[in-house]
Amino acid sequence: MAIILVSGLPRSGTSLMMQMLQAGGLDLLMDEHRPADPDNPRGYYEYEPVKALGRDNSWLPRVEGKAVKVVSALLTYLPAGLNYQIILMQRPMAEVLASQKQMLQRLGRQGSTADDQTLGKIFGRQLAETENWLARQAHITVLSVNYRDVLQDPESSASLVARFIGLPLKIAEMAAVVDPTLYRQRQTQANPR
Amino acid sequence: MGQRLAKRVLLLGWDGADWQMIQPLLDAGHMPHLERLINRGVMGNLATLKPILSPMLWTSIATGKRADRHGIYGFIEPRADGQGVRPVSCTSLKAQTLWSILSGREMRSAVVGWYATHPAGRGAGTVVSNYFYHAQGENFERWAFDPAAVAPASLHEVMQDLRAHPADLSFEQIKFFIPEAGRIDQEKDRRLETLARYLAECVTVHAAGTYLAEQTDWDLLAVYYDTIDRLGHEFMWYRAPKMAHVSDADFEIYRHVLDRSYIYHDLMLGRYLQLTGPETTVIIVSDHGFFSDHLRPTPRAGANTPPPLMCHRPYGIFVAGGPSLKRDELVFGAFLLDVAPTVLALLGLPVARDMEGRVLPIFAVPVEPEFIETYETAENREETTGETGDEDPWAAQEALKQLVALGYVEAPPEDAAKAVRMAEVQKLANLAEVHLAKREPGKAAALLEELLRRQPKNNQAKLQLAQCRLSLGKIEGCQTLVDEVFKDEPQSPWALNVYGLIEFARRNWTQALEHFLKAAAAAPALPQIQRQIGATCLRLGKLAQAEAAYRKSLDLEGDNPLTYDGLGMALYRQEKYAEAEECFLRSLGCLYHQPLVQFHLGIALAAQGKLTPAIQSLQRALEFNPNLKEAHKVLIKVYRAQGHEALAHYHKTKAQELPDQEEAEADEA
Repeated sequence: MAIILVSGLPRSGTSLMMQMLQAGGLDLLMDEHRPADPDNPRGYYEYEPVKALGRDNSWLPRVEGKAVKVVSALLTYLPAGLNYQIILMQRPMAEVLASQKQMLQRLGRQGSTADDQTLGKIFGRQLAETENWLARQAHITVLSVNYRDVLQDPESSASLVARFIGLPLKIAEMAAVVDPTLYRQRQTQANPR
Repeated sequence: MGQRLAKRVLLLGWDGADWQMIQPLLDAGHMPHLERLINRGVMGNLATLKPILSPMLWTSIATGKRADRHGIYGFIEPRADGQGVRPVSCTSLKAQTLWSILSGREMRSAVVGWYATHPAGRGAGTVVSNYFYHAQGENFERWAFDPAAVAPASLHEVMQDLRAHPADLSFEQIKFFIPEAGRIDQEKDRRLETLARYLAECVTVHAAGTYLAEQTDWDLLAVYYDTIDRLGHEFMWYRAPKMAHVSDADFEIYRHVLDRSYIYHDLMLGRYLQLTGPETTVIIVSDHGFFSDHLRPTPRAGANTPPPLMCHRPYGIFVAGGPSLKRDELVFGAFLLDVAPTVLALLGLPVARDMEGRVLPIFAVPVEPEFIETYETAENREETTGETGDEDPWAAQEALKQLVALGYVEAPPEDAAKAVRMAEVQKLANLAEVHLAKREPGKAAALLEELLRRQPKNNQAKLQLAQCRLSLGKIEGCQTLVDEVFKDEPQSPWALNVYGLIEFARRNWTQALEHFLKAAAAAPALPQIQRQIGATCLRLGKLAQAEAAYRKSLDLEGDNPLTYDGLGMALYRQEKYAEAEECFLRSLGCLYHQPLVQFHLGIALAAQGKLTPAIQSLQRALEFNPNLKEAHKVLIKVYRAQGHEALAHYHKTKAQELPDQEEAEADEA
């Protein structure tokens, strides 16, 4: 049985997708290490050991049949020998960076000192390289899901995800968790990633 | 493609090699192969760049660009995963190297041991990287071969066996460098082990280089040896004349190491000349020189060797011999950035306009190279980028910081994080120095401000920032910084120097001189302060005192183009025109591209009635800086003296179009 991963850059809609999967009836691997806050009022749906995937992947076999959130920067640490299905969230880079900035401000933390344009290019390049790497891994399948599409047509997106995973998820319940009012840092269509 | 002037080019890098070591050995007949090469070619100084750090310099040699444009900022860089630091790698490169340019043009290149060539296999011909030759483990069998150090893979097997481990060296081989080696108690004295390590690395590089020279086809073979510099940092202090802090026993045992290392390099050169034949153009360069005489620095209290950067002389060597070159001639004013354009011209390849050097005038028949705007195209970039995991480590670091701050990735261990912070600080400091040397105070200031945010007590950075602000006309901001340093380090000669520069900028020559004299009293061995004294005395009309100060500066430091120029002006104003001419020529011999010095040479020649060479120098000054109004004004007089009214009128028109100019500013420390 494959390990289901929800991935993408931070603030690209990964928490929303985790909520949808949970509502659809899928078990999640998560803990309460980071509780809900104004940036994610419904919670982060994270599993703390994921952050150290680069040096410890011993927890991965526990995920079989469940879904876990793994930031895209860590995907290349996934060990061989297991099968993975990755739902890769995509969102315009400007929106991602704006959301990250807001979150950092709220946390009172300093992230990168690079300007948005530079950081956007770095993240964009890293994501592209990761996607190229994923495409070459026989044990990994990837479904790219556009965050805007989820908000605009949650039912279609839920169906797409269910078909990809190959499990009988509850589509209506998945669609019902989508709340467009939580779509902040929205950019116009003229401001793509 | 232009006319190809070299069938192929062998480019040898001898880190730290210095004419002051080589010349006596040549004179004594101890370097016959180099002598032969010089006799069929050209030789000269090769001016270095600041900061004098080898990974930055060798990459400048390979790319024709300074560090702000080639991306190698020092010895170390963060690991892409943030788990500490590593030696600089080619993933940080932002500019095309000679070998990647040749690969892009379907020419054959091979490079051995060069900085920032690891990992190999990034589309740049045959590469034996700088990770290849550092021995590990207690013997050869325990020395794991890194396949990422050699490309193509077909060379892995042979290259593995070409490596030399220090344990493989015989005592007889060591005795060539240390005839008295039998006297060393190796239980207590690890210096023999150090020599063995560097020698083994040298042998490994040489084995790889000569193998490729003989067994493969190439248009360019570039081989880098760090042995002279490494041995210099360990053993130069034992060379004659004996330094005061060296014991008699150490002097007797270790005094021959450096001279023998040069002789060994000559032997290696002989092998290359034998293998490559007279049709190959051979170029030997070093990135900087190395003090080997009374200017050798002494170690600080508690240390065995002086700080490495104090040991480097700003002039390395340039030698080139080949069929299309001048024979037995000197080349003047060459600097590091000239190597890449010259190699390209030899191979008939266009020189990029965004390279920062020139094609050296070393050809028997003058060459008009072809030019292109740049080799930095998206296509070229793609060919030399690697796979996932080989990304620019500095960019990866920025992304990692963001992810850690957002709480998505664990922070690296504190020792790793500390090492990364140090690498970042070094990058800021080194880049700031690059911009200072390029006379870009605004860019340097931005980096220094960031550096001071991370290291608020860094007085050196404060003084550099102060000088930037002075250059930008922000005198008050400059004063504040210097006051902070002076409060922290009363009588700091560096702070006093900057106080002097502030008064100099205000044209308060007397007050400036007071500060510079106090700085000199606090630090009598600093050549740049003597130079400031000279410049200020010139302003005050104290010509004899200016001359004395400049001469003292030369005694302290040796060749310096600014000092020669200053001395030349002091002599010129005392109407010692022939001596002044000699000084200006020496200045240009150090560094060719100095429009003001070309102008000074022009007026010294004109004062002696040497009008034709005066015109040449003045025209050259205007080539480098068309806005040099004074050069136009002198040309008016000179052309009139020769009866060329039309040309005099032309320069009169030009002069009238230009605003009046300030005198040359005091040079920066």
